[in-house]
Amino acid sequence: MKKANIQNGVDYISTLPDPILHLILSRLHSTIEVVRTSVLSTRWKYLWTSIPSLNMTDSRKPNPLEKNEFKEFVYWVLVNRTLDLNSFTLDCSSFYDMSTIGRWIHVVVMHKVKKLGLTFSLRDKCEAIVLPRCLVDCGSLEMLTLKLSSHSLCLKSFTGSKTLKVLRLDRVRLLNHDLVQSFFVNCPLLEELSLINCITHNLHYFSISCPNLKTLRTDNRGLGYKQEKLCKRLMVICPKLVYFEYGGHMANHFSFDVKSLKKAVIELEDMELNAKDCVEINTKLPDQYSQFHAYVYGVILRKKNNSSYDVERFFEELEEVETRRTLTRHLKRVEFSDFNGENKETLSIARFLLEHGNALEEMVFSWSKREKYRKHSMEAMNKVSKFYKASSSVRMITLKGCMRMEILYNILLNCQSEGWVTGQNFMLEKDSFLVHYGLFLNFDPNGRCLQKIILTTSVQNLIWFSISHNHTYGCRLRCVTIARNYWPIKQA
Amino acid sequence: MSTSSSSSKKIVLKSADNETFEIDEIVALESQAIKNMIEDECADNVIPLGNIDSKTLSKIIEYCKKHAESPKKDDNADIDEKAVEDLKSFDAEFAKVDMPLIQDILMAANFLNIDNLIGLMCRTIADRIKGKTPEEIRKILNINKNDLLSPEQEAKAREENSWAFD
Repeated sequence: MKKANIQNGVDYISTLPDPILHLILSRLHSTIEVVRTSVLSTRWKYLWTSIPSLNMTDSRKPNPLEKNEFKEFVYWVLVNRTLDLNSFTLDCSSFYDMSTIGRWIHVVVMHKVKKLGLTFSLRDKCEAIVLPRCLVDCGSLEMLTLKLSSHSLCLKSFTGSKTLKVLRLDRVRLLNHDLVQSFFVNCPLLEELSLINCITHNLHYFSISCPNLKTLRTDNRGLGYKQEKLCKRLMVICPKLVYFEYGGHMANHFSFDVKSLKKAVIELEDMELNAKDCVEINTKLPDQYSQFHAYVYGVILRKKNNSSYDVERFFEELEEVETRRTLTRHLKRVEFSDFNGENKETLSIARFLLEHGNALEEMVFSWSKREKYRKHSMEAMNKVSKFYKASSSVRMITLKGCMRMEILYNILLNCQSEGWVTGQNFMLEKDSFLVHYGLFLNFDPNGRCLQKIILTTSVQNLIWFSISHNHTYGCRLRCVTIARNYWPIKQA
Repeated sequence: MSTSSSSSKKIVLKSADNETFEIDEIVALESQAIKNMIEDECADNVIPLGNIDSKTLSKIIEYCKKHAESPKKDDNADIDEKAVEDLKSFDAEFAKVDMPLIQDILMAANFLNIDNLIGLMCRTIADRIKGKTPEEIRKILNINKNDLLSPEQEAKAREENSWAFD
């Protein structure tokens, strides 16, 4: 077949328009490989000069000669540009000085770059990186990613952008808080901000105030040294924020003025060396508590099994952060994952939350090990059942395995809002199926996640509910209570 | 060939080798070019596709049928993950054909303006030439020998872009 084509002299690809050939070129590994296609034929000779994305990586070892070659190559590619650039990414370790990189930035700004990604550092680790002023006036820049190997970034000349929508900073030391703050203010279109492994310089107070920000991510778990925090006090003033993610060492003080927040995921790593705790807060629009920063909808506490854990300190942290108020007044749901029944600290946290959580609706104990579950579950649950409960409607739920809790929870919540799962004990095995009329849940064989949710009738029309399980793993369903009698329960 | 009325919502395509294909309108809508024709009410008769042979056309119809059946991504966030996976594996299987047919499909997809299919074919071609030498790529793409650079031109291009060729 190929032969026939060669004989006919048919070279279909070369007859296609540039944008299609660019699509092919853009899937190659790097710009180097793209430039190599210049020798294929006359059709391909200049194609590379107009590809929309350039991806420059100098992964070679530092060597003066090669260094100059790469430098020349970048210039060569930039000088030969015939069209505007969609994206430019540069990854060049510490091989080049700021003036060289600044010149490259100038050229790509001239080519109206929309997405700019820079990964570099400087030889002199103390030198602050100052990005050129041309970025301020660049009318095309929409996305900027900076990975600076913990170099300081000084925003004295790059003071903002009227077009920037996405800013991602990775391993960047932010030098001057005032400059950073005014930078955010001067990015009126900014919608997404990520501060990954960023540090503010000896800063006690850091506020992020962005009028249009929708997504905010901060995470410093990759920093390695445990004393580093983004800051001691973090304040978020973003009236349009929808999603907030916080991972790592917690700021001691944490406040929001966010009414639009729909979901926040907060993972903490602040307690003891090995303790990894995670608080997930799903928030909803605040109702009457407009004072509080976000209406807490659910909290998940995760804790590693073997970590020694200072409960007193946990509560102290709670005192300091306003989270405590959240926990007692707004918290609706707590999950302890990897629960093994032996850890006294976990139980005392459970006790604390039960004793103080006025709004608590649900406490979930997820057992990770079947063995432990068999041995300790009855005893542990008996203990828990004796704790004083501030909330009269709290339900205790025991779970085995690691189902996708959010999904299950949403289902349960739907059920609950229709008034029909209000039992005191609700237990679901990981290899079981939860099936009811119109709503079908199917766990995958490993029980890791729900595979299917099909809603065939509206919840209001539900008249039948049943729970059945996979018989090969045996029946472990203990107790299900359904509030209304006319929804009979069938147990397979 | 009789034309099908709009009530049955069928579209008839005719390939270069005069084979006719009757397909549902919804399938034909995967092609932006045919969609435009339907909107301009130019699709009442048989649509002749003088530059697409029947082998290629039946392949393209197979693709459009599958994609027309699948739920669209922008419908809502709760998209059936299985359907997405299913479509992915269909695409992967679909692309397992020889290079001349890939080229034919790409040409036709470009003519008919079927974005997803153009993307799939370009990805497939890129995967096949990744990491290959210029000589190998010429063979794979069947690049016309008359279009090759002269040895002097090629040497010059290699020298100018020497960093890329080391």
